[in-house]
Amino acid sequence: MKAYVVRRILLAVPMALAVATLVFLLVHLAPGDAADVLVRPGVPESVAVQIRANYGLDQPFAVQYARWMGSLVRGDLAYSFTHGRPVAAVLAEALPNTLLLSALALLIAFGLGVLVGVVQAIKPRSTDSVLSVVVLVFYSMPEFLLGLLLILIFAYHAPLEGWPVRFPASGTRSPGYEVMDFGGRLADRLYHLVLPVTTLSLVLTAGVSRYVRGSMLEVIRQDFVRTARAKGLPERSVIWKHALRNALTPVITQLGLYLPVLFGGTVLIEAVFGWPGMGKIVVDAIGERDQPVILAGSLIFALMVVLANLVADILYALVDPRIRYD
Amino acid sequence: MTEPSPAMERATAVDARPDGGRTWLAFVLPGAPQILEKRWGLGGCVVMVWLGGLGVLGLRWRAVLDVGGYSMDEWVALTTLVLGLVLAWGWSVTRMRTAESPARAEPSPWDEARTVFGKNRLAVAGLLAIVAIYLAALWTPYLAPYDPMADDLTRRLMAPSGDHLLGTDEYGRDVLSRLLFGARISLSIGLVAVAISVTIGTILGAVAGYIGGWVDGLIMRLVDLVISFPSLVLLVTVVALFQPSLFVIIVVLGLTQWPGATRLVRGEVLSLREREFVLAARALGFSRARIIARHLLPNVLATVIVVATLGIGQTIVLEAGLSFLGLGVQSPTPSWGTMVNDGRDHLTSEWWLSTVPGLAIVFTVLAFNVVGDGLRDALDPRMRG
Repeated sequence: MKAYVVRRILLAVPMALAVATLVFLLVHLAPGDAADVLVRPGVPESVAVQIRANYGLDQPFAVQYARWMGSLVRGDLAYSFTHGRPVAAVLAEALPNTLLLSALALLIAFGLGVLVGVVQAIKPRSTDSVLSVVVLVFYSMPEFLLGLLLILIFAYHAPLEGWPVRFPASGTRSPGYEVMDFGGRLADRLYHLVLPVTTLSLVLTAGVSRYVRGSMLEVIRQDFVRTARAKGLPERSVIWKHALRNALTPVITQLGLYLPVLFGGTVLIEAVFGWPGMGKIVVDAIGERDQPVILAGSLIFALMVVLANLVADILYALVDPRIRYD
Repeated sequence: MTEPSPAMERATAVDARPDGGRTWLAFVLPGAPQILEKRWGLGGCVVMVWLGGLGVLGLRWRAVLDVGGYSMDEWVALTTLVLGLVLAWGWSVTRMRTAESPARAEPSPWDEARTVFGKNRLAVAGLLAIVAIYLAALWTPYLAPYDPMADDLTRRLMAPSGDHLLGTDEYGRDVLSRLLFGARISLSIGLVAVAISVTIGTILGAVAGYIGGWVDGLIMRLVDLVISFPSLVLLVTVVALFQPSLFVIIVVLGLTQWPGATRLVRGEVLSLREREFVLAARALGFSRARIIARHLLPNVLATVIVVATLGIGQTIVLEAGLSFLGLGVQSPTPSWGTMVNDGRDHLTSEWWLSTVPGLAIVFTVLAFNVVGDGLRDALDPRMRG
């Protein structure tokens, strides 16, 4: 098991480098660079030439690639063109926000998704069809639309109508955050998290529960479930311990596949809720052709997915002892 | 010599060739012979497709002759229109009750799937919804009450009324007309991008599964590479770096969404390759290419159809997300995602500007997902309870 984990981590390194190289190539193939964006019309061409020289953008492709790879290997993510700060510092501010958002959403989505999926699988057909339709509607709903609808209802209409339930439309904290005590700060952060996390997790829940339902329906028909029932185990134990444990195995492998979807979702959610996270930083950087930020941002996204796949594989082994690694 | 039994008599009656008149009728008005045979539903549909298609072609005849200056969605609309006409015609001419075999011993898997699908009311409703959206997209130039791109600053931000059923946006453009044209963009992108991605995914999956070895390893590493990249982040990068246009968006979506199909097809081929019919084909000395194309691909068709149907929904959502970020189809060309984004500034007052195109996305994607689920239940015998 240990050897397997080590090998997987070692395999993840070339994977991340391949992704980085791909993005590097893309950025270079694309027309226009940071100098074109920074230099406004009317500014002499010599300024653009100077900027390119400063950033090393006038060097041949191979030189730029070797330099960037060299600094990456030393753990240096280079200097942002537009932020005027090291890329590492820029991303270090944004990463926790994104991780908080996606981790909470993932937790809720898996908990709720498993619950809904199992209920669908064990309840009579009528309950199942009603829930299926609800799940399918959320599954078909783009995250940004759900976000806008929630903003419309809970941030705009609720105060107008005087409803007690209202949430902020954007940002991570209220103006008076600095003077609050610890409890107040925690409550304020959670208060701002409600709408983005709800949006992200509802869409994800739909995907998870669809999968759990299918997997559960297959497992429930198997002999060992009948055996468990026959030997007089309470139904609760049969479903939630024996059947669910087996039904979850394929779901966990899907975890790695959900993560790219989740990160794609956070990019949109951050745009909707003005959430200062990785997605927003990277999208802004693309507009500015801020090459080091684009590269570092994509690399981190890819690394997180690779890591999540690793975690999924380890969980897989924990849930299903039949899996052997060699 | 005994009297012919009633069963034999019926068989000969069915076997009789139709008279020449009916064949000619099928050539001129496909579907009519089927109506004469009292197959109202099918015959009626074919007649309607034929007449409707001819009508659109007739109205657009000038535009069709005027080669060039076509936008992508017009090409998609035109191609599918002609294809639909040819299919309707071909079906009617070949499917007259000529040589209908006297009840096959066993219904084919496709017949069974059709029966199961037909019983799924939700899926049938979804299929009808798709057809309706598709027809609306096809007829858009005649259905839309206004030019979807014409600004009229004297009629900005008007509430829904008799003149403008869904109101106007901040440039005074009619929202209903933009919604209808947006259906064209969404469907075109969904259909073409999925056609690209499913073709790539199926071929790579079949090759990886059948040939195996280092080819399999290479293809699957490539799959891992593309999958481990958040597709929206990749899309945003590519689309933003190259100028976003309908063409770029379709190509990028097509080239990034194939790994799902590859994985599923490879999995199926891995189990199919051990079956006897593949062994027999190999024993006959058929080439690898022939075995893949003629023996394996037809057997994974069911999976591919399901993947494609569900993929269209996902692709439409992705395109909407891109457009929402301002990186998709560029204004003034109407795309549903762009419309939602444009309406954001007026969310508090003119809330319908964002929500109506948003609900159009949900409705369309829902229809494709319902049909995809229905097809999976119908085509996958394991799922039948």
